[in-house]
Amino acid sequence: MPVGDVQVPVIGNDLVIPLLVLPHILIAAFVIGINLIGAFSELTGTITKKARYDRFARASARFTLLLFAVGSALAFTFLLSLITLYPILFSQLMNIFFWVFLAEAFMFVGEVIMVYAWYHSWDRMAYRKNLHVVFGLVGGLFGLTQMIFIDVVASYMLTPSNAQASDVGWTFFNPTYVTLNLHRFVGNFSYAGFLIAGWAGWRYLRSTREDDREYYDWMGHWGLVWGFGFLILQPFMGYGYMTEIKSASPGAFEYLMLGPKSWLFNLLTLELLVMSVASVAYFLHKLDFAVKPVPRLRNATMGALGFTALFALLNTIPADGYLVPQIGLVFGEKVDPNISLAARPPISLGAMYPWKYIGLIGIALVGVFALSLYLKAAASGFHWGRASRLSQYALIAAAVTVVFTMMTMGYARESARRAGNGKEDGWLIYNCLTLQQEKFVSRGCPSQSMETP
Amino acid sequence: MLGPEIALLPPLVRFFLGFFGALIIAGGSVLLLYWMAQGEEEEE
Repeated sequence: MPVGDVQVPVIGNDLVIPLLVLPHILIAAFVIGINLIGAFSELTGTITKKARYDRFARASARFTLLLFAVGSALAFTFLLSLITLYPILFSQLMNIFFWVFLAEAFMFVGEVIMVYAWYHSWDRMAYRKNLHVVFGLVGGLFGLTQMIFIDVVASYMLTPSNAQASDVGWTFFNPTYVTLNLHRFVGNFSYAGFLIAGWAGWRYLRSTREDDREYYDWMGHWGLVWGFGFLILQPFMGYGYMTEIKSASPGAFEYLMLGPKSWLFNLLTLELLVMSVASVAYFLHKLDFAVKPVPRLRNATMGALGFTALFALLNTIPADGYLVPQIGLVFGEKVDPNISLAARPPISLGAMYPWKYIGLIGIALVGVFALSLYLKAAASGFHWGRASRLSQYALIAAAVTVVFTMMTMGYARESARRAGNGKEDGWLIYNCLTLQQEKFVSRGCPSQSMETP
Repeated sequence: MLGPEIALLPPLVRFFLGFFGALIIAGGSVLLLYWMAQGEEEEE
């Protein structure tokens, strides 16, 4: 009986994994993010004695529990499919990372126990808040540690270390391990923050009671501070991550940045444009409702909005008109994938140096500036419950966009392994295990080379 | 490929199937849970 001889009709084997993993990650990243934001919210509530932080934290705990089951069920079905469809990959990964997988599984156990304890002891421990907060924080840390363990495997598949598989330390600290963790750590908060803000916007528009309007208006602000606050760190984190991919797996880097899938990063800049402009526009609107009028802050934020839009638009300019070759959306000549950083591409404003550096650094610095002004105004308070409908639409737009961003970037990281092994093939483990034939190659393979059984 | 050739949808169709399928699975399960838990929230 041959190994891995299952053919999925109609959708094909390749689509089964993403169809399960994408929903899993959309839910799992949110669970990690909202768990931690909820725990910090409860902590803020115990310090400030404001009830809305506690109300939000409790709803977060409840939502974490509700979603946890779906997220882990999808993970299970994904693993089942992986074992069946890619048994050689799974066996290889298990040989190298058995202890990592085992530790990761126990992190799930720890997380679910702590989050259940956190949610169900809310009333019972109402007078022992300092201890109760620890439940939520530890639950969140378990979730985070689970991500840190699975990142060992995820980063290894794209940039395996040039060391024997039995060298546990080196397989852990492969080239992109640290940067992937940083990128995802920041991303979890940002993603969950924007979704919380979008959800609050939706509920605000549907609320009729005054106290609900006040609460959801505040919740939109609270979510956006997390979402945008962590988003402005992402250009640096993402840049660091891509730099590591460039040095460890240059084929994957070229495939993503200048090759057939460069449209993913053009799309990312559009998504960044929507999220950053929507966030700063929301800040600007909110300043009108500051308890203490802040005309100077408002004018400065108006300027920040202009610069945010300018830098974000600069980022969206592509290097060439060869936009999406897969659907025939191509104009003019294709940029040379081996172009040097200083050379001019067909569209000179689309060059990485200096324009994209200016755009990315600019959007992050202006973002820090706009957020600082907003937080300064927030310190003296806002009149909650009076936000316009348009400002809530901005929150919803940012939330929808952040989902697309997660999908774009998830697809980018995984499809990067299509590069450098022929047009129809790719890698399961980069430069080591091929996608279609499931053959190990000796050159560049970090483990001992061997034949497919 | 190890087995015989099987019928597959064109690559672009499979791409969009994956994109919308992932959204429907994730969004659908969240909305279903929200809908089921709505009564409980009102009791609190």
